Amino acid sequence: MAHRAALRMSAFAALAAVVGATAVGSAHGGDRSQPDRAAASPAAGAGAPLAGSGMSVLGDEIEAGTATVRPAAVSAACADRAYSLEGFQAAKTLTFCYNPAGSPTNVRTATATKNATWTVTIGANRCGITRRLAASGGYAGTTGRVRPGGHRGQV
Amino acid sequence: MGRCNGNDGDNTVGWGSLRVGYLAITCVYYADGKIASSDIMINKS
Repeated sequence: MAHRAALRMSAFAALAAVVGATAVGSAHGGDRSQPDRAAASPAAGAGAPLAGSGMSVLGDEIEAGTATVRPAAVSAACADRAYSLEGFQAAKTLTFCYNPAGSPTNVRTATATKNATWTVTIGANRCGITRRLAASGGYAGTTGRVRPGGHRGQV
Repeated sequence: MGRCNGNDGDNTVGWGSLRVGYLAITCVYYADGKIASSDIMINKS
């Protein structure tokens, strides 16, 4: 879902950006979906080290926000120039797997996931902004793994 | 409340139960400024 220039255009786009794109970055725009890092990973926190691993973890919990009229929301998002860069980047292609278990019936599972990933990877947008991301991503098929844990299924 | 369960080296997208009002949780595991893996759970509720 992360890299040096991917925009957080929507919750799902952000998700796809983190996993699917490469060689771009994670930028947090000021749209309706605001991350809640403290809540996302209370045990680890934002950018907190993982004991004994030499690795850090950044958890974002993305709020749904309030309902807005779509045209106004798009216009506001297009005018928003706020962002912040993370302290990491993808050094190689991040190939992702998809677990369809529990997916809503109106979501076309893997196809929707792949399409959303590609939309973010190439920088597609509804603002008329030229695509400049020379990025790619990989899809490795479905999986039975479940990560991270939900609040009813923490491990 | 969701949480990050630790790096397993795989990048996984899936569905699960999160708090009301949250769309999803993302976890990025990194070292030396490079991403090792990342996971996404989308709220199925």
